[in-house]
Amino acid sequence: MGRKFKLALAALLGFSAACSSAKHSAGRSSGPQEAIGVEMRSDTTHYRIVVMYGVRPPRGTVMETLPDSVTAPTGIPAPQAPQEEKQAE
Amino acid sequence: MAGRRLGLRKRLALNIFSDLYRSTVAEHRLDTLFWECTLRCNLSCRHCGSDCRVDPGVKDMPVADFLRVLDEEVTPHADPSSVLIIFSGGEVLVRDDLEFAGREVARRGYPWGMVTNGMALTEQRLRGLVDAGLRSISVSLDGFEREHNYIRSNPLSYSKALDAVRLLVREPGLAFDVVTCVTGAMVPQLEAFRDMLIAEGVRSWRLFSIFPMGRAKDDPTLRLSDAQFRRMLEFIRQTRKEGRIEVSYACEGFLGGYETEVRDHFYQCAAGISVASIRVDGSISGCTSIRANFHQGNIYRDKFWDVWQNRFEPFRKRDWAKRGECADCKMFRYCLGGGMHLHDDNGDLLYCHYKRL
Repeated sequence: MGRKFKLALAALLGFSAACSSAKHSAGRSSGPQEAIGVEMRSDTTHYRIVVMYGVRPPRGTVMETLPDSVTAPTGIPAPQAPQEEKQAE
Repeated sequence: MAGRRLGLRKRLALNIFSDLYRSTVAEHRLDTLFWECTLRCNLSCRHCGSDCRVDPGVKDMPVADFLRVLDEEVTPHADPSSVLIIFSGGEVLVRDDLEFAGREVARRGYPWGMVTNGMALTEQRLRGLVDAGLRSISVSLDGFEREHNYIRSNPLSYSKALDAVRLLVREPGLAFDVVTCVTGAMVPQLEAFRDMLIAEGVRSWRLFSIFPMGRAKDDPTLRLSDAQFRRMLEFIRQTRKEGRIEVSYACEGFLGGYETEVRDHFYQCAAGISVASIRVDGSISGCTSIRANFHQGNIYRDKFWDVWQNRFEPFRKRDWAKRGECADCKMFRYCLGGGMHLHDDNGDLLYCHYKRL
């Protein structure tokens, strides 16, 4: 039974949302949103489980961008430059 | 009452979910990374699973060590915006470099959040955290004053936590919820407590119950009876139907007929599947509440990404858990032996939610 067929069947049974946490392997669709110093992706097929000692997923609200310069204690590594290509996972 | 019984429709959906979930496991896409940045705490709660204290005898992990893992081991392999970093403790606010850590994490493109008991959350501190990129926060509030202060062993803990809640409901840009550890004394008061949270402006609420670990294992007064456990689940189910506040039971434990009625999704343990943690001593695990026998490596010896990709077998292949009371259980195909944190040093299951129903 194909993945899409299973998802359709789950939806037909009324459990589409309940299966959403297993949907993300089917692919990602994303649209970037400005967030607090972070470009958040609104990933419509990815459902993040809220873990017991965790926190709720952040909202995609527009907040001010963080400044580049911060006072670092000694020994703090600098962030890496954006990579041209992500290494294959 | 839903109880253990699974209707045909739900059973069919669970079968489909289980099939789909296998590919989620195979993919094991990291979306949540805990950083246990300290074991120090300004409280000494009766139910603490980590057995935290003012001086735990364990040093905080230097920020630089965690950032090195992000820079060298996570950022090259994952989209930072899709990995939520959760600062965990201990009580994270005891670290006076928390804002710096948050700012550095955010600057690298990661959203971050934290859980707090609220004792040290002043308006000024909150402003500093938000300025440092804080995106999500949970406050522990375990009931009304008497119950909360009893569990927290501090006469000021309730008022401080409530003050924190009142600060946070005024922050529309933050994802925020209240987390409640439900004890027997709170069960008859759940309705009143819910109404109080709603009146305070709280929109999201998570409940969980004690499991026998850390200090909690030695205090039976904190645990729910089976009847109280069912009563709590019924309360959650009813409150969800009413729709006045988003409420859910925690991620742990397969709940039979209550599946999808007290949570948005079917039960699954995400530890080692989409959730990893870096413990205060550098150990690499799933969630922070999982015992040391399940640690998969250490950032001071191993490459985090290599560990995430190539180890974690006990988390991703749960056949080993089909023993003891799980050996003949027909629900094993759905629960896979329950949450990883519910297994003891020998791997035996400490607590089965399903059998409480």
